[in-house]
Parts: sequence; structure tokens; C-alpha cells
Amino acid sequence: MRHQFRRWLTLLTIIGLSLPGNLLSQPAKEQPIQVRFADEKAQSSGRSGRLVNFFGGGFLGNGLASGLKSLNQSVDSLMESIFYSLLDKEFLTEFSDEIRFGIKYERDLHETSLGGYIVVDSFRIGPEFGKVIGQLGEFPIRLGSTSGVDFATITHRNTAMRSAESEQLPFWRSWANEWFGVLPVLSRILPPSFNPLQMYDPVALATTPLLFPFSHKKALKMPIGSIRSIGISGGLSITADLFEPELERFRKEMRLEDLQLSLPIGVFKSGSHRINVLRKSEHIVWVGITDLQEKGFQSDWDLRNRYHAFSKLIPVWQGMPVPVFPIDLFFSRLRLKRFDQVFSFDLRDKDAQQAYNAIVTGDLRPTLKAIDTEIIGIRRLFNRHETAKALRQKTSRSAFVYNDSRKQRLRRSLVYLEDDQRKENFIEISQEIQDSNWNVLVGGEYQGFNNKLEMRVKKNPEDDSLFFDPEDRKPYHLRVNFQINDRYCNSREFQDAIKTARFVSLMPLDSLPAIPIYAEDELREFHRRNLLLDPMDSHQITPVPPTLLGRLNLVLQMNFPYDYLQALKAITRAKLKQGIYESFRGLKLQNPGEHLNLASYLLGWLVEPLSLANIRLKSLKAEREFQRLWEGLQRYRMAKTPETVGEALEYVLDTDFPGELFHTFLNLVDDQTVAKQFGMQAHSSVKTNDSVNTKTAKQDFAKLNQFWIEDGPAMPDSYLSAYLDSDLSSFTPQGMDQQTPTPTITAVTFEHLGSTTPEKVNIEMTVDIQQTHPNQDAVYLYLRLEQSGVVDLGRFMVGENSKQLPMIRSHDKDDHGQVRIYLTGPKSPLKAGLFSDSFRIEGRYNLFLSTSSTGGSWSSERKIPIVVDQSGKLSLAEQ
Amino acid sequence: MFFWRHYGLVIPLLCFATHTAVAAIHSSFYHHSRCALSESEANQPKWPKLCYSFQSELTRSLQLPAAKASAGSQEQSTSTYSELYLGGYASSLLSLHLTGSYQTEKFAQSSQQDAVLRHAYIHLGHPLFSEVSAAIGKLETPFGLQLRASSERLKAYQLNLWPEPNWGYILRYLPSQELRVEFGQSYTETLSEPMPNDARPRSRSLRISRSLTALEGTMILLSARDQVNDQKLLSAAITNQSNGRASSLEWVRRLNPNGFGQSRFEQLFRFNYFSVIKERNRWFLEYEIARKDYWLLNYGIEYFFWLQRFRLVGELAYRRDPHADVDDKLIFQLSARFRPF
Repeated sequence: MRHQFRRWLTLLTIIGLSLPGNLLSQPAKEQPIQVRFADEKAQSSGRSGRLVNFFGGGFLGNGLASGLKSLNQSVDSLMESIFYSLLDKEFLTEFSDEIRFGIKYERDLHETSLGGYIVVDSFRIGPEFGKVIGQLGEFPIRLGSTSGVDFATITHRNTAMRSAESEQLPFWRSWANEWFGVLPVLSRILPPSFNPLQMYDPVALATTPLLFPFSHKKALKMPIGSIRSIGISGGLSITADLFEPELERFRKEMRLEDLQLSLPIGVFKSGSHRINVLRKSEHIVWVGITDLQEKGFQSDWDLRNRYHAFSKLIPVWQGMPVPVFPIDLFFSRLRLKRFDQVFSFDLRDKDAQQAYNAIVTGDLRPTLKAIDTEIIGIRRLFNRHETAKALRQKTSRSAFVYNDSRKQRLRRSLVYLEDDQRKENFIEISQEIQDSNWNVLVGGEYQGFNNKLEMRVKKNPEDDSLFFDPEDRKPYHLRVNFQINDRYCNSREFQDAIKTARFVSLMPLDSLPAIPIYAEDELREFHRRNLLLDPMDSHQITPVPPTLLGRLNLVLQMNFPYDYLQALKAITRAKLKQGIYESFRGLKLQNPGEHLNLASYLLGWLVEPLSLANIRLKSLKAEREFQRLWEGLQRYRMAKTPETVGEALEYVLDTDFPGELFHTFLNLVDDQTVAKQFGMQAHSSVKTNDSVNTKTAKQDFAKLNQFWIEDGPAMPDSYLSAYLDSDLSSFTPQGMDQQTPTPTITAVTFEHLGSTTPEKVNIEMTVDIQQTHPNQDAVYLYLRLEQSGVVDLGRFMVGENSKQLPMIRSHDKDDHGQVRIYLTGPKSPLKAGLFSDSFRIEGRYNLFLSTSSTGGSWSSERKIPIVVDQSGKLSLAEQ
Repeated sequence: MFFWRHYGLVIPLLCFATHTAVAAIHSSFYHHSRCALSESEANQPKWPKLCYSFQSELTRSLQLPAAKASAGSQEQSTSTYSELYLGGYASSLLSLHLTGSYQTEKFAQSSQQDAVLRHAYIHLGHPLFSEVSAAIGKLETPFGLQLRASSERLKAYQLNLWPEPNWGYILRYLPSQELRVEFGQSYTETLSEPMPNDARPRSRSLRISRSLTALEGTMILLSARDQVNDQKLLSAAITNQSNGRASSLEWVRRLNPNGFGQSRFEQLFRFNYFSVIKERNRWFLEYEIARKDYWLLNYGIEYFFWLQRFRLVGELAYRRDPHADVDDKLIFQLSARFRPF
């Protein structure tokens, strides 16, 4: 009996001890946790217009026309390159030796810094013809021809849209969009740089050629803010491979069996006709028609040996292309003619519907007739004729996991513009220099100038000659735009970027914080750990790297007005030489001398071939640049007519060193009339295991987000953007978002209700929302949970969901309301089990929220870092 | 063998007890576990210092034929590996280093043992913090990265690509924090062995490493080695750290004596990936392929427990053999490592 009693006592004690404490005691009332967000609109007020400048106006339009590849897509890792290349497939069927038939599907992602991506799905079909038609001596002459039809669908997407779509689409379709479950798994395990949108919705990509809206009914089914495009193009080229026999001999002698060597030089003529449709709002559709003709000379020198690494790793994958032979050059000089017309159709109007149905098949007559008879539903936004001489160059060198390339374009155009009120002529000189570095670890990093000289001119109707309007006080100006985009910017690159911006603009920028290159505590820790190391292991120890800060977008804009450009004429030869030597070599010349420095000039010539391999030795080029610039300024002094002024300034701008050029100008003529703007977007990548000093450096960096500083007079508008319809000039991919107002999240509150055991913790989340219009009944809410704790396999997405929730209206303010949702627990409507499960695992998470009134256009994401403890309770994580 | 079997565990325990006792008496003199300064001494270390570590590992391995198996060809083995390291520092610029290892391997029918004095050298200057430094004694000349995720036991095919420990010297030059240049020559295998008459080195090698500022630390290593029997080897490697993960890629090629362009050559390619699970626990993946010889894919988990002095490593590997008559193997392996200090 005593034994039995003791046994029962023991058992009761064990049970008592094993019961969780909160069962035995009454749960205490939890304090709600609230996060408030600053008013986004107030924060960015007065800046939104400028933010557009970060990306240049309408880059997609330019991109489509010039066949520009992805602007800032970069392959961040080996794994990423495997998956990216899965989608871009080219199918080539060879009918005979001469004719091939090509079908090409492609998807490009263009990252927008303000959230989301522009997805460009394209499809091209058409024959390619190539035949040797004769011999010139021992050189084969080849005739080539391509023609084809291409379709493109361009949409702005973000993860919230993707999630909302999966709620609305039938099961089979959303399942197919996710690659039958493969895509969610990939987005969980791959590094943060892996973008699931690259692979999402293969059905849309496959159906790209069927999506073009050939009727007004189809146009009204397009998502608002999306673009669809159809183009017909063709081209003819005659090339001679002048070095083929020599290269063949060289290849055989050197036993370079796999090496591709080809140096074709030739002439070409090509043309394209393109129709773009943008669904701008509920009933309004814009149709843009572009005709482009190009002819010229081009040479594409491609000396490379391309191996495919890891080609046997995955059966369907041909391997990662690895260029091992380093030089790739492209050079083209051409003349182009371009004709753009943009019309707006209000598709509620019957006539507009008919005209639309005709114009998308290429028949402009009903549209033009409607404009003449002033039908309300149709407007001509503008006509633009351009004839131009252009120079395009690309030089790049690659070595295994590294590529360094420079693209250069210089174009002088005569543009004729007309809209309902005005007709004007312009001369436009545009210069683009884009340097990019790519390496297999961190992907691409871009830095470039995009400069434009705009000149308002008049045309004499009698002889078509151009002249400046005598009453025009400011007939031309030069606009300089310098940008740096770096997705993985470290402290050294950050300092270099600031230094470059200071150098180019002569702005002091002294309010920027000095972020130290190395985190001091990490250096100390490195010293402590390694002072007593076994020297035989020292080669495996990597030194402390500069602090990795995060993503940086930097922009510098300057406007050199007419009077400033006039003042350049007064620069003397000695002063110019002094200025150039100072900016190229950092030298203060004792005696600039009037005579030619022949040795330096010849040296500049000698190193010229290195620029073919993208190596530019600035300090050796000072004398040559000086000579070139002096010649340019002389021509500018003599020039009287718009054409000669344009030619002279084109000569001045045609440099490999634009940064040094503007530095020299600003040093020599500083009359405070140059408008300057400098801005930055900085997104720091905070990690849980960052040291204290690293954290401080990242916080200092993050404070620079939306940094903006101006100097000199106000930045004047571009002549063209002032001229064009204001909607059109501000049209950017981001603009699509801004045009559709979205509800804004102002605060989020978490409350623990009835938390008895970790399994039953009910976390209720209340989201305060500023509505777009009063009396809104419901909004869509998107939630995504990402783990950021010790299990740090890059971005680990735990779950995502979107729901339409009823709005509880505020009594105080008409435009405010709340939605409530249980994040966890039995009452939670979130289907994804992961959402509840994950809250049982202690750790750090990031919760992302976004709202929408229609499910189509979403607010920018709000991020809340949270910590879940052992008992399943949630608290805010320290930033 | 008898000794090891019966006293193998006693030695580490004794060492552990001695260490604890000594550390209690004079904690600033002795350092353990390859070897970090204490926080309090980080700025002003007190010299001299003695630094030592001992580790012992027991591995049980099972190899199964993966396909077309002839029954009964599975193979089991047990191996042990013990290593003792001693580093005596008169100051950060003058130190003496000794490493010895003892290895046994037992198969069903046979067994083998091997005791090696791996390193015994004097080091002048600091390998990371001095601009110029040198080592003289028994050592390996600098070549390659030589980083492996998996345990020694899986190294079934000895390609002799790595330098053996010999008597010689190494010179190091660090022109900047980012760049290291190392050169080494070695002459004889033992001290008693006479120097070659023409004083021609047995092996000489050069290694250049450059760190890049990509992600949280990236290093590229290029090295070349010339051996007495006219063998020349080249190696290139890259290591990278990001977010607590580390990966390395290494390539080694032995040049054919008849020239570079020949089709017959030996080459090894190795990829390692480590990822942290929690604290020091981690998982790893290793892929190693020797051209025309074999390839091996290995996945393992490393788990530390009891004051992080014990470590368990479970590995699952698939190995393809070079010869058609030998089956591919699936290998399960469990190692327990004890590191008392």
C-alpha cells in the first residue's frame, strides 16, 4: 500500500512538472505590439518626379527599338545561371545548308528600384539565309538575310501580384505557373538573388505570340499598365571575312582546334515596323507605331573559345558557357531614319474602336481620317521624325568567371516633332557610355553616362536649311546624366562611387558620412584569432574584406546651359592643357607651353590598340585628349549654323573619358550657372551575425536612401519633355504604378489572444490602412514570411498568401480603415500550413505586407522584422 | 595496435586533465584548439606562449557495390586518425611548430599503421601580419588550396598531387593585405638523408593568392610546382564566403612531360560547399573528379556536442571507379572525433 502510494505520488509529481507553466497559472493579458510607418507620400513629396530620372525616361521604349538586352539583370551565382538559362531557348531548324528557320522565346527581367520587375516575354519567328556568293581574291563574300515577326508582352510584376493571381486562376493554371511545384521549392532554397519571376508562368511565355490585341475587345482584356508589341523586321548584309585564311592557318599551327576565330567586315541594311499597344487605364489605350530603317557598315570581331563547364552535370543542360579567349569587339557606323507616331484611343467610342481595329493591322487611314474630322475618342499625341548618324561600339574582355565590357553610342539626329498645337525641329546629340563588370559571384555592376545635347532650331521652308531663332535666348543646352548601379556594393566601392561623383561634378558632397572601408571590430577579431595560427594553414585564411553594404543606385545630373557652353569658347590653349593634365594625371603643369608635346601624343597613339581589349590608360592619353578637345573647341568657335555647331559639339563629346571632360570644363569655367543634382538609393543588407561596427556601417549606409542634394539653379526641363504631352514624358515603368493609386499601410498591430500552448497561439494582426477613396468595403492583403535567423540559406521563404478582407472603417477619418486577420491558430484563414507551423519554430523572421484595392496594382512592401520565441510568442526584432 | 586499442582513450583523457590543471594555474601561457588569443589579451598579448591541440578520430566505414553487384563484395573497415600539434611562440615573430600524426586502418583481412612527423619547423615573422616571413624545417612547400570537406578516409585514390612533408624552407612576401606571394623549396625526406650532390631541390613551388572584395571574402590562389622527377604541376583555386556559407573550387593539373598540348594528362577538379546549420554544426557537399580516373560525390553532416569537444560526422558518398570491372560504390561512413582541448 505504501509502495502504491509512493508510486502514485511520483507519477503525479512527474505529471505536475511536465505541465507547462501557463496551464497552471492564468495567462497574463499580453500587451499589443504596434509598428507605425512613416507617411510614404509625405516622405517622397516633391521627389517623385525626380525619382523618374533615376532610370531615364521610358527605357523600355528605347530598349525594344534597339533590341537592348536586359538592363540590369545579373546572374548572381552559379546556381542562378543554371536556372536562368533554362528558360531562354532558341530552336533552330536547319532546312538546308543555306536556310535556317528560327523560333526564339526569351524572357528578360528589368529590375526597378522602386519594387517589382518589368517582365519582357518575347517570341520571334522567321527564316535566316546565309550563302557564300563569291570570292574576292581569296576572301569569301557572304550574303546574309534575316526576316521575321516578333511579339512581346511587357508587364510589371511583383511577388504580391503573383500570389494574388494564384488565388484567382484555376488550379491547373496556377499549378502550371509554378512549374508543378518546382518554383516554390527553388525560391526557398536558392540565394536571395534568385528571382522566381524569371521562371514564373511559362504558359504566358509560350502564348506570347497569341496575346497581341488585334481587336479592341482583346485590348480591353489586357491588364492595365501592360504593353504588347508586334514587329516585322528584315535585313540584308554582305560580309567578307578578310582574315579567314590567315586565321585558319594560325589556328592549325597553334593546335587551337576549338577556337572560334572570325573577323567579318561588311555592310548592312535593315528595317523594322513595330506596333506597340499600352493599356493605360480602364478605357484608354495608346498605340505607338515605329518605323526604323538603318544602313551602314559594321564589324563584329569575335575571338573566343567558348567551353561549356559542367556540361555533364544535368542531362538537359548544355552547361555554363565559359569564355576563355578574351576579346570581343563590335563596331558599327550607320545612318538611320526613324518615324514614330503615338495615338490615344478611348475605346468607349465606336469610331475609335473601328480605327483601333484597323491600326493594329497596319492600316492608319481610319485613324488619320478620324483625327482630321476631330472625333473625340481619338487623339494624336505626337509625330516624330528622326534622321541620324550613329556610331555604336562594344568592347569587352572576358576571363572565365569575369567580364568587363563597354558599350558606346554616339548619335546626331535631326528630329521633327509635331502635335496638335506645335511643330518644331530639334538637333539632338546623344552620347551613351555604359561600363559593366560582371563576375560569377556577385553578378553585374553598371556605371555609365547618358548625355544629351538638345538644340531648338528652325527650318527655312525655301531651302530646308536650318537656323537658330534670333529671339530664342537659350537655343541649346547639354544635359549630363551619370549613374552607378551596384547590387552588392561594399564600402570601398561606395567610397569610389562618391569620389567619382565628386570628381565629375565638383560638388563637395560633404554631408555624406565617411563609412570606413573595414569594420574595426572585425579587424581586431581577425587579429585575435589568427595571431597564434599554424602557419601551414595560413593560405586558407581570407583577410577581412571591405564591409558589404547592400544595393546602391547613384545618379548625378548636370545641365550645362547655353551661356555656359558659349563661355567654353573663351578657354585659352594653355588653360585647356593645364585643365586636361590636371584631370587626367593629377598634374599641375609648371609651364603648359604652347608647343606640342610630341612624345606624350605618340604614346597616346601607341596605347590606342589596348582600348580594343577595354583597357584605357588615362594618364597616357592626356596629350591626345587635349589635342582632340582643342580641335573641337576651335571648330565650335568657328561654327555659326546649327549643323556646324552640332558637328563641333559632337566632336567635343566623342570621348572615352566623359568624367574627365566635365571635370575639366567645371574647373575652367565655373560661373555657377550649371544646375547639379545628386541622389542615392541605398538598401542595406542587414544580417543577424553582423558585428557591431558592420551594423553601424550598414545603418549609416541605409540612412542615405532617398538622399538628395542640389546645387546651382533649378534643373530646367528637357526641351523634348516640356514639349511632349506631360503624361507621355513621365511614362516610365514605375509610372505605371504611380498612376494607379493604392491603399497605404500606416501601422500594424499584433496581439496574442488565448495563448494557452505554443500550438494554439492565436496572433491577431490589425493593419491600419489609408484608403484610396472613402467607403472602400474590402482590400486585398498580401503577406509573405521569410526566415532570417540561424538557418540562413539565403532567402528562405516560409510562406506567402493573399486574401481579400473586409474593411472596418474608421470613425474619425473617412479615408482610414482597418483589416484584421489571424496569422496563426485555428481561426486563421491562411491556408498555407507553413504559416502556422513556422510560428512553432523559434527564430527570426521578416514579415512583408502589401495592399491593393483591386488585386492588380499593389502598394510598396512593408517589412517587419520579428522574433518568435519558444512559446510561440511574437515580438519585434531589433533592427 | 595493442597499445592503441587498450590505451587509446586514456591518452586523450590524461591530456585533457593535464590541460585543465595547467590552464587553471597559468591561463595566459597556454592556449588550446589551434589557437586564438583570449579577449582580454587581444590587444597586448604576453609572450612567450605555448599553443597545442590534440585530436583523435575513429571512423567506421561501409562500402556497398551500387550496381551489377557480385554478392558479398561489401567491405567494412575501421580506421583511426590522431594528430598532435604544438606551437611555441617566443613572440609573434618567432615560433616553433611541430605536428605528428598516427593512423591505423583495419579491414576484414588486413590492417596497416602509419606514424608520421608531418611538420617540424621554425617560423620567422608572422605569416599574415608581417610583410616578409620565412619558415625552415620539415614542411610542405606551398601549393594549391588543399581544402577538403570530407574526412581523410574517403581519399581512396592517391594521385600524388600534393607536396609531401620534406626538409626545406618557405619564403613569404605580402606586398599588401590583399596579395600574398609564397615560394618554397624542399630537399630531403629525413634529416639523416644526405643532401643531393648538386643541391638540386626535390621540389620547389610558388603560390600567389589574391583576395577580392566580392561578397564577404573571396580569394583566388594560383600555384605551380616543379618536382625532381621532371614533374610539373599547376593549380588554381577560388574560395568564397557569404552569409555563413563557404565554397571552394580547386583545379590541379599535372603536365605531361611532352608538353601542355598533349591529350593525356592527369587532372583533379574539386568543389566543396559548407553551410552552417546552427552554431558550429554544418552540412557539406563535396564533388571531386579526377580525369579518366574516378569521381566522388559526398554529402555529410557535422554535429558537435559536449562543450563542442566531440564531433560526429555522418557521410554518404557515391564513388565511380575507373575500371570497368570494378563496381561503383555507395559508401556510408560515421566518424567520431574527440578533441579534448
